[in-house]
Amino acid sequence: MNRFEFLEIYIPKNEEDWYMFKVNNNRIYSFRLGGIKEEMENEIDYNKYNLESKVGYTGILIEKILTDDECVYLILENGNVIVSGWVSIDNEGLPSLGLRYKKCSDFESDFFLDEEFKEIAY
Amino acid sequence: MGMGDPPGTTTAYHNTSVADGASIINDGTFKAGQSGWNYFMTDASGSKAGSEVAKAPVQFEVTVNMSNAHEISYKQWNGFFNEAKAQLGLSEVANADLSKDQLKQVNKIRNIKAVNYMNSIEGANAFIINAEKGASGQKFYALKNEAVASRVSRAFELTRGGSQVSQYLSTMSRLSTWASFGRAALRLTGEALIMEGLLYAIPEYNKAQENYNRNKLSYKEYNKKYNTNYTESQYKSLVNMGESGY
Repeated sequence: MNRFEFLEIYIPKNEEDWYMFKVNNNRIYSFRLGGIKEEMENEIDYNKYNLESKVGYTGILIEKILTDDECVYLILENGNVIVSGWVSIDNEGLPSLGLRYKKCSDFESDFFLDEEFKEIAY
Repeated sequence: MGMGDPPGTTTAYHNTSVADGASIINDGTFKAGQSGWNYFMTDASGSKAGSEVAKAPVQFEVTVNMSNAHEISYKQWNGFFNEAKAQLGLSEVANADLSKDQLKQVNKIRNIKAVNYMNSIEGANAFIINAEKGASGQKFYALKNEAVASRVSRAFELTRGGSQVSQYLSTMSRLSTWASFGRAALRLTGEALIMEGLLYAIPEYNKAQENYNRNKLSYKEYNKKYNTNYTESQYKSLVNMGESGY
């Protein structure tokens, strides 16, 4: 399987849009619940996103992408992790999806060995 | 448990609207939403889509004691989601293929299922919802008002949306001041109108006095007194006009 470098994050200005990320084969994927989905570049309205490049993440090879059917863990070769999951809850108990920047050391040592994780091909 | 938290306590975050944030500051406590529960989360490091137009742009940081709280496992949390999907006829749709709108609907039903479960446990007023795998994963805390009173430290901090809350409170304070003095303002307005009437009446009165004086005075005396140059006939016509006109 080819491995690509993680490049940048597209942060949606509108809550109706998905977070997206670009890799160095020029493909753009959206973070979905429990997965990722390739997006057609000519269908993306770039005005609806803010672009974010992050030191320690941009230009680093993607080791693997795992999911447990809700959260998605994009693990980089340097041990940094981008987690797509529930980042917020309002006072009526409704959660919102979003992103968190983590490190492998933020998780228990056997966390990613859980058999319930599935690897996502991209 | 966060770094530096006393045993049994943890740091958590509460997201809310500007108006509810202002109310929390005014009342010094949190108030449950329509579900009867207050919600907090343990990891506030994330960013969500549409943060610029978020409906809950205000965030409070609290210290909360969740010892002996009931727990909803991640598996149970997933289970509520799958049941909600089935209820909407979406069981065959992979999670990754759900649209934002479908996801919102599924989440609403999952939330109702979680609330029903929490309400079904007699006497339970505090729950830890494991919204992510692992000990360090995101957790949501659901607390009834009485649990907030006994478990949440009163020294909480506004960590996001402070300027919006401050602006809101300032506006509400001005409105409240106007409401308090509304009746007085109306009374003063009434008095102002009376005063305006009096001020308007004074020239009329002067004119009446003048007219009265004119009637009493000869045209020569009137001219002298008011430093005018009326002829006798002019003065007579003025007096007549005054008598009929005033």
